Parts: sequence; structure tokens; C-alpha cells
Amino acid sequence: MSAMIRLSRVSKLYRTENHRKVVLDDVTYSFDTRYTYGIFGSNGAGKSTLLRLIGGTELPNSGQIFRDLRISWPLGFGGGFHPLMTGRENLKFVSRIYGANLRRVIDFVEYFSELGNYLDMPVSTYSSGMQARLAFGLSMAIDFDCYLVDEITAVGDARFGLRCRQAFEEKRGRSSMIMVSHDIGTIKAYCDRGLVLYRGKLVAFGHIDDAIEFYRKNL
Amino acid sequence: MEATPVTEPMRRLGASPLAINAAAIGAILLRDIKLRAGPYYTGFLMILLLPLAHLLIVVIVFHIFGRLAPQGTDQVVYFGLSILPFVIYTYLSRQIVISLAENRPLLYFNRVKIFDILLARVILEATGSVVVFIIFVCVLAVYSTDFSPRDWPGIVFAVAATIYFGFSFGVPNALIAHVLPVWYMFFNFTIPVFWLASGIVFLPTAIQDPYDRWLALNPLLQCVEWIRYAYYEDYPDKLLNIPYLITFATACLAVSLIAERLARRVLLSK
Repeated sequence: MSAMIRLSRVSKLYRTENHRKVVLDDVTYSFDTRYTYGIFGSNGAGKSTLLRLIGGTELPNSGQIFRDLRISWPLGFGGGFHPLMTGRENLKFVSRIYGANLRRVIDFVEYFSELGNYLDMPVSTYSSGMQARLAFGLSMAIDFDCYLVDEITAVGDARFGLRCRQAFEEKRGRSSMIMVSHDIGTIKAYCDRGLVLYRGKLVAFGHIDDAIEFYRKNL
Repeated sequence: MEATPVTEPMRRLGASPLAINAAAIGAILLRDIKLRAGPYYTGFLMILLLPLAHLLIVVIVFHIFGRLAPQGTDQVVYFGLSILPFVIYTYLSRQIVISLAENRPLLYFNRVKIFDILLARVILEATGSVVVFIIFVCVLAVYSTDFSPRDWPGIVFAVAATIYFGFSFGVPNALIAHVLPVWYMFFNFTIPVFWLASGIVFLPTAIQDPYDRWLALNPLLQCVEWIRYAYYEDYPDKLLNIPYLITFATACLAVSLIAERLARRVLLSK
């Protein structure tokens, strides 16, 4: 039986002084982790919030989210890196949290990110692209049942892009993915099924092309 | 060059929740040590030197000003043991309160919970407090004219209770400050209040009724009284109420645990 991520009557809203933004409005949906999912939505629709809710780093206002598998943090995120610690020290920290093999993670990230000697420099000396490569490499180095991918834009050169695609392909057979992006081509390349976050509702489609068509019509 | 395949097993058995928490706490603890020690591990000595220096400087100032000890013959022992709980409480609770602000980005990793951050910080600070206590006792033993505690286990339990109170009182303040950053300022104002109201600069039993009973409601005063009672042969235990101290600290912790569970959505959204 496949593992599941199940949203049950989930609502999430943000309140500011003059405004009430409904991100999710009584959403019920089950992600079958035999498939990979692409989520579309306009700017500010709440795609990143949805990923954080699925990952468990944020809680809904009402409803429940059930998970029975290891879920990553949003891929490519490097906000948890401390700027005064070196890349290697940050890798060790995250590896320890997730119980991953330190040596294996470091070896993989050294190869994958191609940061060279910068791995032993403070993260504050990195460019934004280098930070993203470190974060992405780390995300790929740790084994999760489901990866959450948030707005992976082109980081690094074409060779790094190729490695990312190869890493995704390698993971595809063993792990699921829930990807959020504005880049239709990227989602179409990696995802089996599509969802559109539209006016607080998660509109599901059996095929990614149907989701793309709906998204384009309602942009 | 082809990508090296990741060779982690396909679906590992899930770790127990306790193991997950322990891994997160251990990782945060090592990170905290690394950040506070700096590039050299001897930097960790600063975690010990600051409270120790604070303690010794205040004792020296009292000695210079010729404050007489209301109890016993040695003013260094009297004031040293009186100030020790205050120093332990101040450094420990303040570090607990700022721990969430310092480690806020870690909450983005779904394995890290709020109490993991707090527990990692208390382990580090409590260890430092114990080392400070041991060093200070050694200093007293060497420099005092007559260092002879009546009840060694009592002194140890009093220090342990101070650490427990510092943690328990720091946690609710940390949670409040996480939501309302202005609370840091309020919490800092309580430190001089605790200094004045904990019987360090005066003898609490010399205060007349009913003001002495009101002062006895201060848990830090209970810590000071406990350590004095454990050291001196004839120190009055009129105001000492150990069950009150432990209950107060435990109640703070219980309220914090409940509040964190109820307000977790708000805490994580910060």
C-alpha cells in the first residue's frame, strides 16, 4: 500500500491590518506518493504556504494533515544555514537532524554543488547561486520519501542544471515529489499529475496537461 | 561526468519520535556550541568565564566596600553563596529567552520543534552552570578562612533547583517573546528586580512581617535561602519553602507546555 499525504478539510488564512487572505478554503485531498505532483497558481495564491503546510513547518487554521512518510523541507531552501558557519558545518548540522550519514552527505554535496574550497568558507561569503547549489545539493543528498520543491529556478550553469535533472530522475523511481513552480516546462518534465491552487481551492487533474490548460485559462 | 547515484536505502524504517527529538536536540546543541565558541573550541571557555567573572567581581566589590556578613564569619563565603543562585538564574534564563529568536530559521526544518531548541539551550547552559558552581566552590575552598558546609547534598540540590527554576521561568518568557519581541525588554527589567528582591543584599529573615512572607513568594529568594540554610549550622529556615519553589517551577513548565501546544500555529507562523 502506498504512503499518503492527506489533507482533510484544511483551511489556512492570513490576517493583516486591512486584509484577510484565504490561502486554502476547506481543502480535502490525498497525495498518492506513487506519483509526482506539480502545483500551479498565480503569484500570491499560496503555493509556498501549501508546501509548508504539507511539510509541517506551518499549521493550518483548521482541518488536519496526515503524513505517514519522511517529507523533506522545501527543496532549495537555504534559510536555515547560519551565515557564520561554513558550508560543511551547515551540512553536518542538517545531516544530524535528519539522521543521515555525514560522510555520504558531504561526499555527495562536494561532488554535486562543485563548491570546492568554498565548502570550508562561511556561507556569508557565498553568492546567492552558491547558496542555492549548497542547499539543493543537501536536499538531494538526504533520502526522503517525498520531496517538496519550491520554485526551483535555474541555479548554476548548464552542467549543474543537468545534474539536477539527473538527481531528480534518480529519485523518481524511489521517491515522490510535490513541485511548485511558474515554469511549466520544468513541472511538465517531472510531474505526472497537476493541481491548480485557485481561489483557495485545490483543483486536481489526472494529467499534467489538463492542469496546465486550466492554469493558463485562469491566469 | 555522470551523476553519482545516491545509495541510501529505498524506504528506511521510521525512527521513533524520541530518537528524532534526540537527534534534533543533539544537532542544535552542537551547533550552539560551535557558534558560541567561534572558530576555536577554547572559545567555549567564555560561556563559563562570563558568569564566573560576574560572580567574582560582585563578591570583590562587596569585599572592598567592607560589607559585613549577617551570618557566619566569612563575608566572601556569605556573599558568594548568596550571589551564586542569582548569577546561575540570570545567565541561564536569559539564554533560554533569546534561544528562539537566535534559532528561528531552524523551525523551517520540519524535524526541529520549538522545545528542541529550548532543551538544547538548557543542556548547554545547565552544564555551564554546574561547571561554574564547581569552580566557584573550589575558589571558596581555597581562599576562604573557614569553608565548611553543613549539608553538601543540600547545596547541590539548591543549585539544581536554581537551574530548574531558571529553565522553567525562561521557557514561558521565551514563548511570549517569540510572539511579542518587546517582551525581551520587559524580561531584562525583571533581572535587577530579582537582584533586589532575592535577599542577596539584605537578610530576608530580618524583614518584618508581613513583608517577609511576600518576599518569600519570590522563587529566587527561596533558592538563595536554601543554599544558605544548607551551608550554615544555625541559619533560620523560617522563610524557606522548598515545595513552593519546585511547584512554582513545575507550574511554569506545565503552563508553557500547554501554551506551546495551543499556540503552536501562531508560534510557527512567526
